Amino acid sequence: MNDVTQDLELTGRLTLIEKMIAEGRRTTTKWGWSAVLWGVAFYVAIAWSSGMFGGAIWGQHYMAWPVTMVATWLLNWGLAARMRRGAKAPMTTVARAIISIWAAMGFSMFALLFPLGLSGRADQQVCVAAVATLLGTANAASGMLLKWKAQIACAVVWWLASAASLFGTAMQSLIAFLVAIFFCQIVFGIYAMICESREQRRQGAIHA
Amino acid sequence: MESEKSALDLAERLKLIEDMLAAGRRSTESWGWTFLLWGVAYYVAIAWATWGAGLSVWGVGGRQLAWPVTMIATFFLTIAIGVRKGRGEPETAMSRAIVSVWICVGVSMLLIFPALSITGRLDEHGFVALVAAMLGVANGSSGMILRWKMQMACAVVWWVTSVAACFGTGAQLTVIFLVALFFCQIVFGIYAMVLESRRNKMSPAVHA
Repeated sequence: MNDVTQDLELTGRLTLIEKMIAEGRRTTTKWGWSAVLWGVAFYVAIAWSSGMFGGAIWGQHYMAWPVTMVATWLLNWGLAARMRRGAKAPMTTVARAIISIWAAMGFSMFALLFPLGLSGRADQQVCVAAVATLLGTANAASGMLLKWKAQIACAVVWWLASAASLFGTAMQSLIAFLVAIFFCQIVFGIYAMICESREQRRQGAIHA
Repeated sequence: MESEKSALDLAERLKLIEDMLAAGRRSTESWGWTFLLWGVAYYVAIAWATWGAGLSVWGVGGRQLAWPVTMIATFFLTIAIGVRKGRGEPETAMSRAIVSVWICVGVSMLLIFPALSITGRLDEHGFVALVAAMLGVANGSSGMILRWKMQMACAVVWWVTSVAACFGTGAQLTVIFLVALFFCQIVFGIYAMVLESRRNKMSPAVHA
């Protein structure tokens, strides 16, 4: 009798975890815009710091990364706050865990890269490797938690970009970074947005 | 009727989240020995690398084996003790999140540090800044997921260490790293072990 109750409890728990994972994945797809936003921000910062834009403001190349990153962070924060205000359902445990992972990764990135840049202790290749490793860690943890192969693939791409940046030349490091941003931020972000829009349409059809 | 049902559902969900938080914290406490083990391992690596020379993290030439040997030995020791201790409590969404975070941080560290060491691209300052940032991600996300102030405090110490590591002399860097290791690995590890042992002492009394 006791075994049956325990089995039932375990089955219930597993079902609940599966349900939470599915809900967590739906929550993550709602953040697809954020991946795209940061991908575009990285591209803007790279273009600005490489001198691809002209003019008085764009001429200050050393300002490129700090200004772009801080502006993107503020924009992301504003949009996220608006999104949370409009949320209908309470947050699930898995969704909270995912947000915690990304928030901790963001803090670490700022705590590492700004002082490294200011002190001039790391070259471009080490900075790219550090960014790629941190993004690889966050994507891998989210992907493992959500059992989402596409996100785990993004983590692998980031880790490969990190290795390529350290073992290749400065140009190869830049190319690896640009390619990783394209696949793991822009393509993955758009894919998440498509998943979200499909889900919304499906739910609309169910409620209709 | 509908609102009563939704209030019940919310109460149930809240209770479940509270249960999961407690289970996740218990599971982290049962891993307190790993914090202590890795804290001691870092101390051993620093002592081995710098014995008889001035205060520094890596030491002077001739003892390049200190860090790789200590880290690899500690990695295998962690696996061996972890396997012997067994799985412990059943899996919850929260414990899955924490395990994912620590595994991914571990994988990232195992990938980036050998690569940095082989290519010789990083100095002591960058090394400490990166280690601190990675440990900040792990402690920060675990602390936020579990709403555990002590672990959040550890994350803050690691982020401050990451910033401070980029500035100052080699001796100052070593002192900062040793202090952070002491509080966030040794003290926090012992604290988690004390909590676990108290809980173990209390639970036979409950079951008796």
